[in-house]
Amino acid sequence: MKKQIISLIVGGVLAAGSAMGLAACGKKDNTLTVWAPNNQQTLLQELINDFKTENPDFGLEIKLGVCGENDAYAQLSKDVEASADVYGFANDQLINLRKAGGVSRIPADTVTKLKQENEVNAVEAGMITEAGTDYYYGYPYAADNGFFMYYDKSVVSETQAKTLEGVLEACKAAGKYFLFNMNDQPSWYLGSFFYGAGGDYTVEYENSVVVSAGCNFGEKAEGSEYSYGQIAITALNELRANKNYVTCNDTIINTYLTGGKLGACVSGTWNASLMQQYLGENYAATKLPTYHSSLTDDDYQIVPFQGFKLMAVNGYSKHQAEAHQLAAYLTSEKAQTKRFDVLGIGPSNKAAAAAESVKKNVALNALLSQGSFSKVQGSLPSSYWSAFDALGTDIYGGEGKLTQDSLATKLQQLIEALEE
Amino acid sequence: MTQQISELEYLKLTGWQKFSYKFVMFFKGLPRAFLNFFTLAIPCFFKKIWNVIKGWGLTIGGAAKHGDWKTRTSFVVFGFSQLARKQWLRGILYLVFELLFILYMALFGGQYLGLFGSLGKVQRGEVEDPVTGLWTYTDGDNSLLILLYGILTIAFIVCFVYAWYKNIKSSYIAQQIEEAGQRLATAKQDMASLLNEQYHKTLLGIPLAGLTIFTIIPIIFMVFLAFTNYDQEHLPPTQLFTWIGWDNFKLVFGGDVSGAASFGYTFAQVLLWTVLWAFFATFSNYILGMVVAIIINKKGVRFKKLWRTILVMTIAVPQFVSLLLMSQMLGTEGAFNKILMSWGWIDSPIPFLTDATLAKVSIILVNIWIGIPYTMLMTTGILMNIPEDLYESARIDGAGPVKAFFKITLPYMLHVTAPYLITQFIGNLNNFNVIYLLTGGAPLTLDFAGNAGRTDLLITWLYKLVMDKQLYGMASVISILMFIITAVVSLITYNRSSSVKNEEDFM
Repeated sequence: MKKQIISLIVGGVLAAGSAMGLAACGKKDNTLTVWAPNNQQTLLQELINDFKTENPDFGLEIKLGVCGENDAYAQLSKDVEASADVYGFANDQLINLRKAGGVSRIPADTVTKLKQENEVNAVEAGMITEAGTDYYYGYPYAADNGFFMYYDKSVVSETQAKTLEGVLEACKAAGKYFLFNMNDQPSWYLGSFFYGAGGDYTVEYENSVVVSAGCNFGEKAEGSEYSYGQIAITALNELRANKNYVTCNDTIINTYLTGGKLGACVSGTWNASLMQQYLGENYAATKLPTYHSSLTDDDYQIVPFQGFKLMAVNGYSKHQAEAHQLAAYLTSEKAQTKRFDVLGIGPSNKAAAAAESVKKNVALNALLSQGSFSKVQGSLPSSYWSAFDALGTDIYGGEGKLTQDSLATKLQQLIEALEE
Repeated sequence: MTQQISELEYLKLTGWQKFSYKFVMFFKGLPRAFLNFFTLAIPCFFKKIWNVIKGWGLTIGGAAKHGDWKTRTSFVVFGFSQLARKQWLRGILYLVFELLFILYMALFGGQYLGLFGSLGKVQRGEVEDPVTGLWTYTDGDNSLLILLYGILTIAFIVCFVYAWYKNIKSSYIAQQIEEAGQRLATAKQDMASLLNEQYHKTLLGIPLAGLTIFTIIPIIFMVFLAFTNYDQEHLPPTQLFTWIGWDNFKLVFGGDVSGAASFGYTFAQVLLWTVLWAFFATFSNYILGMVVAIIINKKGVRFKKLWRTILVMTIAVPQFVSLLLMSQMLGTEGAFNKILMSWGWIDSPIPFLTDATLAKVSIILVNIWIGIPYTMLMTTGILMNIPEDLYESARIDGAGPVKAFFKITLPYMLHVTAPYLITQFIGNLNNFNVIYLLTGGAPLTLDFAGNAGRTDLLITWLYKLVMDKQLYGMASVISILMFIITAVVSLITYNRSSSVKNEEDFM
């Protein structure tokens, strides 16, 4: 009987021990996962196949998954350890990705090479200064993350396209509409009116944590009794009141375009082929127009964000060296040229951008012509997005009937919401 | 009309006065019910628990005082007394449990329990390889896992203490049985008792374990999160988070309630709309559904089955599909606006879902459209159940259809469906689908903090706090408050409803 007891106890202990052993055992695999947006899947698969043929002794398998460049952080923050080893993202998510541990530092000599080959702004978009040292986290592969104006040449003339008033007038005359997002998560677009008026927004980080953020929208514009914010917010309110103005998202753009009601619209390169298809001969794109302030009787150039798309290696990747090798390949000159040829994505690589076909691209030209005045879009805290999103719906919901008093309240709320 | 009146006086009142008297008394009684809940029910609950613990203490004290050496050794070595008294099965089970516990604490639980106070100290590290220039990363503590395993370990300790108590009690009883000269139950008898006098334990064991693991422990975990600063800035496994006490609660309650964009103000506003919504959504569906059912049930209405089928067809379409379609149709560029504009009725689109007030109205209307068939189906059955002779005698006494409705139909319905109404109300407080799919909480506004919009319910705001803002600690606070609100409201209204008070009526 005693033997039975002892064997039972030993058995129980062993069972418990093995159960714990199983729990402690992590997975050890030899695959690299790459995340890319839906429309780049085929392209990336080809690039990966090329990579494999060029590096026959590359020991890992490469798997491809879907994740939009705008969703990278949202996806990754759910479970950073189980996320892709290499993935693309829009540069404004860098700080958050860094905080989540989702980006790995790029070795110093690779950075030097990146700086030689790419536009300086694009490389710096992947940089974070920590304790006085600059560290680089992103391999740039696209310099077209911005917005500009598409228009129908038969509706809006080249001169009219220079000013918002001209565009609206032309639309009115032709019974068409000017589309600008003010209602459907418009934060990316809305700041442009404020920067145009001369306002600025700054955010400072220390070890990836926001130490201070704020704007000068409340300050009076030079030689005027109105503040930057007042000028911008009034202009937005007046735009909202215009009968030929329509808020938009990609679906609405599509509807208006196919319905032949689109006179002009503010959007980015991702809509270029669609525009070309429906506007045909009348397809045109140019820099954003200026807007006229009824307060100061002055014109202000709308200032867009200039953003980049970067590729990063996950800090939790178990194969750091191989992942960096792959990321460098997927953002090389060859890869960027292919991206432009197939999908019309504007390259950040200097050699790829110098190609004749890139220079002829109408949309990219419009985007690049804004280089002199656009604002480089750094990493913005989430308060920025929610503040401007809310401002947009507040103004849009006001139907252009908001009084100067309520606009002043909104402005004050915006300033407070932006401050950290 | 606000004073408690005698039965005689009550009988003197007219019908309408009786109704309003009852109505006023119900709401007058609510504060007292709330007070009773907090001053009587909750202390009573804790008192019961205290009594149980006191009972344990007495048993253990008795065993320590009167126990023989076998029983006393059991205080340290689980199951010793049982083994010594040849109750092999019990003895082995207790002993194995103790050994397992010690092993678990030594190998696994101890370290997590040690870090539970700080939720981790070592931050993830970053080292540059001097040769290749590659950066490698060293793992730090994972606050989330420490919190989770810490709670599991504490739960295990509670189980251990309980097992310790059961072990002592069982050995003491065995000793008493032996002293009385009776025979102890054998392993076979113990097993057999699980199918006889202990059968409830066999039956309830698995559900109880499931409930604990899948419901109670996650809830405890969630409650603990409310006292941490787990948010976007402190995202494990890379960053550590830690205890911050009541700070999150202070943000909701201590904040400036009147001012703009504070959590306190937002919470108050969102709660107000949540309650309004639940009220309108519940009663509009209930009353209109009942009216439709009555109309269809009426004698002389032809094609009853056809009408019912047509209404039930809307149920056949999945709710989320109808909602998404509605959201499209009501949009600025949606079908409704397009049609109205092409007819020339309006110049500019009506902001069905983008204007704060109009959006609220649209939501309630769409909800009526979606909800009526369900209420109609349910009430049809109950309406057919009302004894026809009641109506007949009413008619003979000269009551018209309106009087019959208020005197017979409505009281009967209210009595039978009160629990249903309460579940509906609570369900609507947490009605995520309708709001999220129709407006997504839009329109957003700078007046609110935490990304909340004008039509956000607490539950959809919670979703935003978690998914968009990653304010897990704050979200946990909101969900605790939601739980308290829904639990208190449902318990009190349910206990005061006539179906509970006068259970035998209409039987």
